[in-house]
Order: sequence, then structure tokens, then C-alpha cells
Amino acid sequence: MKDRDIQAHDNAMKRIAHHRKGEVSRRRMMQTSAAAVGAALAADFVPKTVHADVGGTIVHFASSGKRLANSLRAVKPLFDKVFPNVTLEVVSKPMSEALTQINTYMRSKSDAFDVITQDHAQFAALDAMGALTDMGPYIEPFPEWYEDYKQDVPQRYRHMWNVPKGPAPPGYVAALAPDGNAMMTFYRRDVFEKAGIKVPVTWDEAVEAAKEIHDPEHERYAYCAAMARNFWAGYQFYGILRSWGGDYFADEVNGDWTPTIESEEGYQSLRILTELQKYAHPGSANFGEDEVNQTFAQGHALYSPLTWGTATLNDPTYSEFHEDWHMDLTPKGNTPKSDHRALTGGFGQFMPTWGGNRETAFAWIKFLNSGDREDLDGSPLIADAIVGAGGQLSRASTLSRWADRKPFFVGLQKAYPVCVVNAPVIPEAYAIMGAVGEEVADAVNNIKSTEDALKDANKRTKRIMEDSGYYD
Amino acid sequence: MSTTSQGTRPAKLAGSDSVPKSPRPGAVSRQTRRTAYLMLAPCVIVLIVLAIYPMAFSGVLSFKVDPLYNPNVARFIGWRNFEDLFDDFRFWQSIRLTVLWALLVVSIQMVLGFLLAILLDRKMRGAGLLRSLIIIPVFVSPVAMGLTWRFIFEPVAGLANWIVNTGLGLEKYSWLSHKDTALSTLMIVDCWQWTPFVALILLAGMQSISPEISEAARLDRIRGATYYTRIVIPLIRPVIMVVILIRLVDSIRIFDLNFIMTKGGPGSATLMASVYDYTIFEQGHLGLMAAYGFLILILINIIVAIFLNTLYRAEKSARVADAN
Amino acid sequence: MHQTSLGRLINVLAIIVVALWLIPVAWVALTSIKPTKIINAPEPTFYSFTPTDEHYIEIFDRFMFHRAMINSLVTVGVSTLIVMILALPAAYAVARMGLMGGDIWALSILSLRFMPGVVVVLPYFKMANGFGLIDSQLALIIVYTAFGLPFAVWILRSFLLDLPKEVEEAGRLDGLSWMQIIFRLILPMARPGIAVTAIFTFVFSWNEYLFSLFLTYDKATTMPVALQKTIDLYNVLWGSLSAGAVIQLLPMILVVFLLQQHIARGLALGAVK
Repeated sequence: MKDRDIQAHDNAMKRIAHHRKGEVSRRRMMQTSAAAVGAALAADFVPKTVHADVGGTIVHFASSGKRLANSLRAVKPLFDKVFPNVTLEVVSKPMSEALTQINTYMRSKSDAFDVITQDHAQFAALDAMGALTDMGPYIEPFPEWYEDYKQDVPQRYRHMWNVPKGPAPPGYVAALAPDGNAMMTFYRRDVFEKAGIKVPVTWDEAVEAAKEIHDPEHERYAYCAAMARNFWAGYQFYGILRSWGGDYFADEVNGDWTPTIESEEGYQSLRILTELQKYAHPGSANFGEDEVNQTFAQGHALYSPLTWGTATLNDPTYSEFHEDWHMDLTPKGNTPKSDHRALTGGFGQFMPTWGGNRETAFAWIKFLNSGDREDLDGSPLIADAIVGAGGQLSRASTLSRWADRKPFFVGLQKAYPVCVVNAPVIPEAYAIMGAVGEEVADAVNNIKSTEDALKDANKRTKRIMEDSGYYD
Repeated sequence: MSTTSQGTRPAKLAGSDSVPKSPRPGAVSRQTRRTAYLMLAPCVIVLIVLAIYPMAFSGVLSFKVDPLYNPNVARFIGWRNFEDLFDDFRFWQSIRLTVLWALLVVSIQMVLGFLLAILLDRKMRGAGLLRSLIIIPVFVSPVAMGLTWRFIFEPVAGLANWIVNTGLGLEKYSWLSHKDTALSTLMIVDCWQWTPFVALILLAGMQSISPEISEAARLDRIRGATYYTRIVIPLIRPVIMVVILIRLVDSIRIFDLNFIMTKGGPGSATLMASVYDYTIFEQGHLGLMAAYGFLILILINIIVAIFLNTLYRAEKSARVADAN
Repeated sequence: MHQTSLGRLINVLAIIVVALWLIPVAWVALTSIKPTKIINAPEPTFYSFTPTDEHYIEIFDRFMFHRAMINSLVTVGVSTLIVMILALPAAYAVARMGLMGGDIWALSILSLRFMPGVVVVLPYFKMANGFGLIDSQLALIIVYTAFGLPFAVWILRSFLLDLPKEVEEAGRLDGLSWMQIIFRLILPMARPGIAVTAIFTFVFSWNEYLFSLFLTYDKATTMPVALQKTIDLYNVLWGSLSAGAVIQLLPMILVVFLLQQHIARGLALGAVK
């Protein structure tokens, strides 16, 4: 197992060991805070250019946790070296409530933050509140840099960050996202190999595979996914729905907002979710994503055809099975409309309308998104710091650097090119996702029939859209 | 003082302080009353300042459609939010569950809490230490404790099932992960957390009973269960009353444990009022959320009013019996 | 009272009950010294691991727990003090001074607590934002006072109802003012009640999450919010969470240990009269 860890940690550990004269053990290093990873990386960092002319204080808000706030804190020491006259403060709130918190602050036109990291599903809502800034004018002076960014971040993913929606024009660049994630198939490669089965391509195969490897007597359950009410169940349903070629609305692109949840595709999606429950870990029916991941780590669940997840699962301090967990594309339905469509989300940085210090704020956002090109103000160390702190990436070049050590990144590489946005790009997205999720969870837990659940989901979606005046 | 003169009937003491010295309460001198209002004033002013705005704000909001995610479409819609709630089967289910929850949980906690208080109301070495220890569940962070309980009740790898299975040799139980067992599992945790709270307040009540009374009871050979039912309970009735009231109100508003441990699931099997209201907020329906909040406010007021009414009537009749 | 064998049995029973009651808390403490991999093991582990202090280092290092701790102590401490100073005269007025409809007062005072927190928190957020009090300790002190006050008046009132009237009457005959009566005569007599009220006013603010979440984001963040930050996206950092919970618990135990002396002493003081 020696030296199979990610490069970022290797680099950082060597430096820390050097500075503390070898007192620090490898395990110790893994526990070191994000800031220490960053500081260690920054210790020997000699930037190509130093921008002493840019100054001021910027406050950056991000949800707490490894993937977001911590990766920012890890990049900060590097940024400080390139921009010595900028004071950067990274502040955070608990992940679980951060999304609604940002909306609450933005609704009140709070000027507390200059840069905010927010989930993609909230951007249409932020747009409706008038909270977003067009980044175009700030990007313009750096055509070469932007060209590199465009080449490296997969197009489908990159275009998600143009709002109101789709590629500019008519949309504008509302955010740049160094971070990304997708719903993928998670499977234990050792188990699949032993059973002699391949990663399922269709949903029926997925059910078959689950049946095959299900072993409740030894507490090795085939399937586990987050079916907790509200958003979690909503994502499960939407992920399958999209793979069958279905959607929440008849034609989102052309503005036909007739809900189509009560449809053949909707029915198939709910059927599959119910069927998979037969091979599910007993807790699955009310798990959130954190519990699902813990079950994966414990070895009690072996497979999930569709789940969010984190790179943490490949972390040697996190699980016994960190080498066995592999990721791949989610299955598809068996109709002509079906295809592998990975629900993709991610966290992008935007500059709130009421924040200040725009030039400096953009300099920081650009730095974060710079990737490996040292001639463009970037440095391999930036991505090192992000991964070292527990973040995950959107640039293809940086992903491939760790592909052999983190199977999770391999999955992401496959997912971005076929990705679809994880929710309709309208302010109402979260409200609808929650409403559908409640109905789906009730159906899966036998509180409601499949038909009733779909009908009610349709009805509630229509009500939400009505209230926002879509049918006027 | 009256204690000794009443001798073996100290039970009557409880009412004695509320018995007006003169037939009409108005007989308290005007000056005394003015002083009383002055003493109450700071407290009331602080509360009015801090309560009026939120109430008015929510009141207005409850007649609006006002999505958190889209302020542009906000408008007044009359009573529709309330109508929507009354049409929603989850709303009725959440109210039903909440009332059931409050009644069961408070009764269990009162009984267990009283027993626990008796157990700790003893002159033994280390009693102080025990009292300090038992109250810990109330103090542990609800976030950490709720998550830990969820972890303990995890159906495969959890500590609870380990004890049930490896320790007792029984089948593993589904705890929080099945719709039929989730609510009672939540109750176990709530009782674990709040019984010590009840016990400690009751204990403080018991401790403030004058030693003369317990001495008199001892001389009269009143002990054991009789001592508690005939002397202690009547004496600490105001304390018992307030504990029930506080627990009742807080049980109806139960949020932390419910939200952290089940989020209202599986399905909507443990969806109680506050968690449902929070879900509505998360989904951005501010108007609906405020309307729901007001309905909970009314519900709690009704329950408290009924409770107080019954209690005062009982107290009054006790007083009349005492006077005779 | 002489220790009978039954009495001794009950003492043992008391110890056993308390010990059983604390198992889940012990489990948290145990988790806080387990390496993450052990926490994620397929079965509960009780002793076969090497204890680690990494989570305690992490909670201070990464989650800035020391700052949150100071914030908690300041906001909760100050608001509890204000609550007790305001509540004692109010409770006395309601319980003892023959206010007409005193109980209605007491009831209406409580009513802010009747609303679900999420409904009340939005207007408070707007107010704080309007006054520029977001992320300040003052905002939290005000809110915790507002929420603690009705509760404190209620509990105190019930304890004051219990007290014998003769002492105050004597005090009044001696020409003491109302305030002197309250703070010189009532305060010592009602000590158990006051101690309990203070403890619970303290603890409700100490564990309060929602208001702290909405009204602070960095400088004034209290411990419950800092603790919640250990819950990562899709992943609970059990070690840090448990370590934080233990740290958050310690000052509380100290407070209780100090105050419970007063609860016990109530017995002796009652004998004075």
C-alpha cells in the first residue's frame, strides 16, 4: 500500500517533513489541516509573476467542508504569494444549510461577501434575485487565459455556468467552477470481478446485477442509495428519469412547461427504484448521502448504479475498501430515447451584485481556476492543493494527473462529456426537486402507490410553476 | 406559620399561598400593584420590542406567495396558503403525529422523571455527582447527539443492533429505517434526553420543601409512596405544572432530533410539524411556511389554554375544599 | 435517616441507572479518540484500537473551535445574566404581588416560544441586517435574551409560588423595599429554583443552532454552528464531530457542578426560616 496516495499529499508531506525535520508521520500528514497542506505547498513556491499592484480585502463565502471551504483555504497560501497585497478571508457556514443561507443573504442584498461559492442548482434563483454579475468584462482582458480554460473544462459542463441558461449568448458567464461532481455508478470492483459480472449498462442489467451479488446473510447488501425524503430522493428519481429520456417538463428549451413527471419514463424510473429496494441495505430507504457513503466505507453495501459521492471513498484513511471502489457511467433505459446521461452539479464562484472590490475578487477567482499553466498565472500546485484538501476538479488536464490513484476522477472524466444539468435551470428547481422527492420517498416506502405519487408530483410541480406565472 | 398547625394535612399547603388574604384580589394596595407593574415592565418591554416585529412580519407573509428563490413573483393571495395546507394530507398527518408525540412523550417523561427524581432525592455520598452526571444528556449538543443516535441505530453496523444481536442473541431490529418503528425509536431518544431535565426540576422542587414538613411527616410515620403522593406532589404542584407546560410546548415544537435523525422519513412516517415547516422553508415557500407557523402557534395556544384551564379549576376546587 | 439495607439497595440502583443512562455519551467520547478507519469499521469497536488525539487537534486547527467557544461563552453568559436579572423581579411580581390576571401575563410572555424557530428567524435576520448587526455577538445576545426570558419567568414563578410568605411579610414590616426583599430575602430562599432556571436558560442558548446559523457567519459564530461544520458534503467527520461535542460539553458540566451545590443547599437554607 506504500506510496499509493495522491501526489498532492506526497508533495506536501515531503515539505512538511523537511520543515519539521522529519518528525511528522505519514498518518499525521493525512490529518493535517487544509491550511497546512497549502502552507507546505507554498513554502517552496516561487511564482512566475508577482502582482503587487492588486490590493484590498476580499471576503469569500463557501460551504464548510473538505471539498469547498477547505480547498479554498489550501489554495490561499499560494495566492498570497502571487498577490502579496491582497487580504483574502475565507468564511464558511455548515454545508447542510449553506444553500438556503446564501439565498437568504442574497435576498436581503447583503454586502457581507465579495465572492461566493454556490451550487449550480441555485444559479437560476440567484439570477432572479439579481445577485449575479456578468463576468464577461472581467474575463475580456485575458483572452489567452480564457482560451486555455475553455479548452480544458469540458464544454457541456462549462456551459452550465452561463445563465439564465445555455451557452452565451443569450446567457452570460455567471461563474467559473474549478469544482465539479456527477451522479455515477459506484461499484466494488473486487466483488464484481469475483461474481464475473460487468458494470451494468441498462437498468434491467443493474437490477440483475444487484440480485446476483446480494448477500444479506453475510450483511453484504447489493444496493444502497440516498432515498431520504426531499431532495435526495428527488435526485435519484431525476437521474433515472433523464437516462430514460424523460424530463420534468415537456420541452424546457422551447418553454413548454407542461409537467411530464406522470409519464411512461416517470413510471419506469419509480419502478426501478422500487425494484432495487429489494436488494437494498435496510437503511437505504431513509438514508442521506452521508449515510450511503458510510455504508460503502463499512463494506455493507456493494453497489449503487446512481449516486452522488465523493473522492473521499478513495481515501486510505477513510475506508478499508478505498482501492476497491470504482466509478463509472450510470445505466440507461432500453428505449431509443435512452442514453447515459450523468446528472452533473458543481460549485462555482460568483461575484454578488452587492459585494465590492471587483477587480481583486476576479483575480482570486481566476487564480482558483487557473489549472497547471504556469505561463498563465497557474501552477500545478493549485490543483495539488485542491485535491490535497479533499476537493475535486473540473479541468480535464488536472483530473487526468490523478486518474491512476483516484478512480473517482476516472468516473468524472467519463461523466463530464455526457453530462446533463442536475435540475431544470429555473429558479423553481429546488422547490420542484423537493416536492418530487417527497412523493418518490413516500412511494418507495409504500406510503403511497406509484401512480398516486407520480400524479401528485405532477400536480405539485404544476402548482409551483403556476405561482411563478409560467402559464400566464 | 401554618405548617405545624396543619400537622398531618400538609397536603393543603399547596393552595395556601394562592389563597387571597382578602376575598378580592383588588384589595392589594394600589401602590403595591404599581410596583408590581414596574417590576414586570422591563421584561415585558423587551419582549414586546422583540416579539411584535417577527409576529407582524410572519402574519403578513402568511397571506402571500413569496418564493425565497424568486422575489419577483411575490404577491398577496388571501387565504390560499391556509387552504393549501388544509388540502394537504401531509399537513394533517404531521399535526396528528405531533399531537400524539407530545402526549406520549410528555407522559412518559413525567413518570420516569418523577421516579428518577425520587431516586436522586437522597442523602447519600456522591448524590451531587450523580445529579450532575444524569443531566448531561440535556447538555450534549443536539447535533452531535442526534447524529450519534442515528449512528447507534444504524440497522446493520450500529451499536444498538450489535447489543441486540451479539449481546442478547435476538434478531436485528429496524429502528429508524422502517416506517412502523421509526417514530417509537425517536421517542426513546427524546425520553433519554429530556427525562433528566424533568427529573432535575422536580428534584429542585423537592429540595425546596421545608425540612420541618418532612420532619413532621416522618414523626407521623408517613413514608414511602404515601409521603410522595400526599405530601410531595401537592407541595410541588406549581413546579410539576410548569414542567409539563414547558415540555408540552417544546415537544410540539420538536425539531432537532426529528430533523437530524430522520428528516421526517422514512417516506413521511415521522414528519412532525416543525420539520415539515422547515422543509417547506427549504423548498422556498415562505408564505406557506409562515401560515404553517401561525397554525402551530394557534395549536399550542389551544393546548396550553385547555391545560391551564383544567389545572386552575382543579386548584380552585382544592382551595374550596381546603376552606371548608 | 439511617441507612437501611433497602436504602443502600436504592443507592446502588441510582448509580446503575445513571451509568446506563450515560452509555450513549460515553460512546461519543469513545468515538472522539478512534481513528476514522475504526469508526467506519463494519462492527462497533470498543477497545481494540490505538487511541488518537487527531480529532481534537483537527477541531481546533481546522474548525477554529477556540474562537467559537469564546463566542459561545460571551453570548450565552451575558444573555443568561440579563435574563436572570430581568426575570427575577418579573416572576416575583407575577407570583406574589397579587397582579390581576398575573397568569395571563405569564402566558402571553411565553408566546414567542410557541412559534417554530424557522418562522421567527427570518424577521430577526431582516432586523439584524437592517441594523448592521449580522455576525455580531450583540445580535445573538438580544435573541437569546428574548427567547430565554419567558421561559425563565415561568420556571421562577413556579418556584416562588412554593415559598412561604411569612419571611417577606416580616421584611416588609422591617421597612425593606421590594427590591431589597427580592434580592436579600427571596434570592437566598429560592436558590434551588434560581440555580435550575439559570442552568436551563444557559443550556438552551448554549445548544441553540438556528439563530446562530442565520445571524453569524464568521467572527461571532458559536459552537453549535462550528460543530455542524464537521458534517461535510456527503460525509460526516465523526471523529471531529465527537471531539467537538466533548469539548462543548465540558464547560456545561463545570457550570452544573458549581450550580448543583445550590440545588442541594436549598435544603439547609430552608431550615433557617
